[in-house]
Amino acid sequence: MIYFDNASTTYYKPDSVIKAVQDAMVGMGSAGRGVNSASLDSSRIVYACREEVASLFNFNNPDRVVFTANATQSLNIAINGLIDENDHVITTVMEHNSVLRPLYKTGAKLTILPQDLSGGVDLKMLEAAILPNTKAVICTHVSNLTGEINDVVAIGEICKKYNLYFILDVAQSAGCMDINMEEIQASILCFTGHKGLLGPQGTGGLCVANGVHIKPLLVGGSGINTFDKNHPTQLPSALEAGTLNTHGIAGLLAGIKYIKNIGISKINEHEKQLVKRLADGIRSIPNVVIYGSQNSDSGSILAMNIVDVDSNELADILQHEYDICTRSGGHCAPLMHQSLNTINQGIVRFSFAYYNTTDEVDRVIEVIKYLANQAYIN
Amino acid sequence: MLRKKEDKFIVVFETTTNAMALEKHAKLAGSKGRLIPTPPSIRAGCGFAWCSPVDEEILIRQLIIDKNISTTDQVIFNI
Repeated sequence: MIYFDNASTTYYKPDSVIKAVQDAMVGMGSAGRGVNSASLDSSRIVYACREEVASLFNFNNPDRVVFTANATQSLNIAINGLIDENDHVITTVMEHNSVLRPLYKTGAKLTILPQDLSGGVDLKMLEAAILPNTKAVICTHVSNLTGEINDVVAIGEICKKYNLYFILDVAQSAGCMDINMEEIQASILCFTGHKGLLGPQGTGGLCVANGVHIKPLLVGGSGINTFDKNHPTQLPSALEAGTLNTHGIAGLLAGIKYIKNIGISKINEHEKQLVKRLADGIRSIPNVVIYGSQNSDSGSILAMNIVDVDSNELADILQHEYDICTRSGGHCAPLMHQSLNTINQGIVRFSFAYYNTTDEVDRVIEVIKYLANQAYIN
Repeated sequence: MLRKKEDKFIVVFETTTNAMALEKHAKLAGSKGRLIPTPPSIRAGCGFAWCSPVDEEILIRQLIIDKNISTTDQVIFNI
């Protein structure tokens, strides 16, 4: 099997991740719920993971790293905890439904910015869209559909200038490219653990900058302040009601250590090389359409179609006749499809990880050549 | 009474994360202390408290400052 659906989830997890989860399941109690050795071991793993996440994102507050189940949960916590119907929020067409749907639910007034020619959001339009009641800019780092990148450092500068919250979705970039929270000046960074970070599904989190106070989505068990009727306000406990997925967090810790050992820049170079190889290999094939600006800084994603062939049909053929796993359809990115005029057709997405090889890409090029030619004949 | 009581240097935290941070740095510094359930007579809060021999008070207080660890109480306590 050739697995090119890493933007959905990375399929091959390092042995160290699998072992860490297994070890946790046979030897750890509930984190923060006691001082017995099993609970303490669990708490130590969780703390170590907070430190690794903070270090990975150049964020100097491990105690403000909050664990959740995934990026969607992180974004819901951030958006529902900061935004209400009286606010104005600036976002982009590049967003996943995990940003858009929570925003729609708040009732806030939205300005949704288009992409510019570079593939990212138009910074002049962003600045021009700011209103007196603008509270936040919420956007993705990398489009989950085309791999196009937002200039997050420049967006962070604008947010700082106008004193706006900057909520950044790094679901597609964490583990694949360098993310420096201090340089970006993000207020909240929302990540998932099961994609580029190579952790188990059911892991994710937020990094919450100093001075940012998020109203919790859930309250309940915290392991602290038992006799207080109110949930604790201190991070991370304030946003971590209920038992943590410590078994998953143990795996996430191992995943982050694994990618840090390889080096993010090395991973990034490898994945960019695969994207470029595939783009170069299919760009000139008649009937092939590649989406996105495809500049050298794009993420580890290539979005394509063969003329007007339904993307689900193409993905099904790739899977069942060639054992090539891709993702097709809408990708939870409705505004991107509106912008690319692909609502009905959908798009076939190839997304890469460090374990993918040039031989696998060459096989895909060969298959696409054949199928595109068939489409032409038919 | 199950144990003979003696003076200890006790640190209480707002969150488990702060307790984990102090444990890590204290162990690296060679402390003989350990995490214990917070004595209810000190203050309710995080369920963990750091408990060190009293002669480690200066060491632990300095670590708390150097590593910027948030605490709610630091006391000598007969426990």
